[in-house]
Amino acid sequence: MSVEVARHFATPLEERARSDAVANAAYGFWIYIMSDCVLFAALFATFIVLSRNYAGGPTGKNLIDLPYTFAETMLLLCSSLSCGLATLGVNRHSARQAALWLIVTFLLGLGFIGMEVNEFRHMVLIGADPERSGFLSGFFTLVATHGAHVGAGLIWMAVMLAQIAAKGLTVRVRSRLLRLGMFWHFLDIIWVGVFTLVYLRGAI
Amino acid sequence: MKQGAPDAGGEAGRSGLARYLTGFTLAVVLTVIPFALVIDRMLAPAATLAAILAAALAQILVHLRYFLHLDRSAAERWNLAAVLFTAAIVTVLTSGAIWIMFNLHARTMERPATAMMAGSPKRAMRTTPARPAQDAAAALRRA
Repeated sequence: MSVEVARHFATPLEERARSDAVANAAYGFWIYIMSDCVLFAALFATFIVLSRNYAGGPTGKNLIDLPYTFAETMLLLCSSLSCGLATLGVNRHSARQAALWLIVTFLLGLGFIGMEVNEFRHMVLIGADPERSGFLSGFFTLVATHGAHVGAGLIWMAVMLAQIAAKGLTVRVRSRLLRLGMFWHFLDIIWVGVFTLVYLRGAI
Repeated sequence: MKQGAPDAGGEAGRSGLARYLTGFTLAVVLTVIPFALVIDRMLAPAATLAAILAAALAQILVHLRYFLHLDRSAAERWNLAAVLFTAAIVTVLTSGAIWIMFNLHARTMERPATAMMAGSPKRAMRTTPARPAQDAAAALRRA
């Protein structure tokens, strides 16, 4: 009886402490994301300063294929939606829904990275490599840093899929999935800046 | 980032879905408009630039509101404070860097030819090594 009473009183406190821990971890991660925003701001500023320094090499108009960029953008945007649907699955305690939408998100993100690597490969093959001009140094630094973040997100996602399969939606796994979702949505926000300032502005 | 309250499906779950779908639809619209403006060249370049920047800003706000659930509620106050602080830093960093570098560019790179007479030391240094070569070329021609 006394054990039951103790459990009765202990549970809400424990739960509150646990949800506080999850909220604190999410807030700490939010601060990291904001610091990453400052890093990207520096890269955006560098790119814009160098964006007309072609050194006689190819310009944005020569290199940018807007329908291709539009397809990349749509892949990333759809992956943001499917990531949101995975979060809804987590909130519903449905490991199946969470895992399914995470796999969709992973494949869309992989498609995005594949398109980006293909674009970089093509550029380097025609001589538009990072060493060609200030514009291209700035371009590759900014766009590839975003791409590296997406790649890191994909690795994280694969790890979380394994954790869902092995552990199920435990409190810790759900807390990590919450932060993964924040990271993925943040990457889409950075991409909005990239396609606007690098691709659209470069093609005007 | 509504981490505290996992809604147990049903009504809350459906409104969560509606929220993501609304955000997605708005984001698609705010992506299609700037791409169409640039591809079809409907506006003058300056107006196009202004329009795509406005669309990007609007889309970022849509992502924050509908995907990251950032709003003015008490639960989101500290997240919002961090965003506003970062926005200030980002604005100072980017606009400051761009202002300084374009100002420097305008002052050093695009001077009219007459400015050379005013004696910019940089210009003088750059032209000096060229002179012996010209002299040599002239000497060859004379020879």
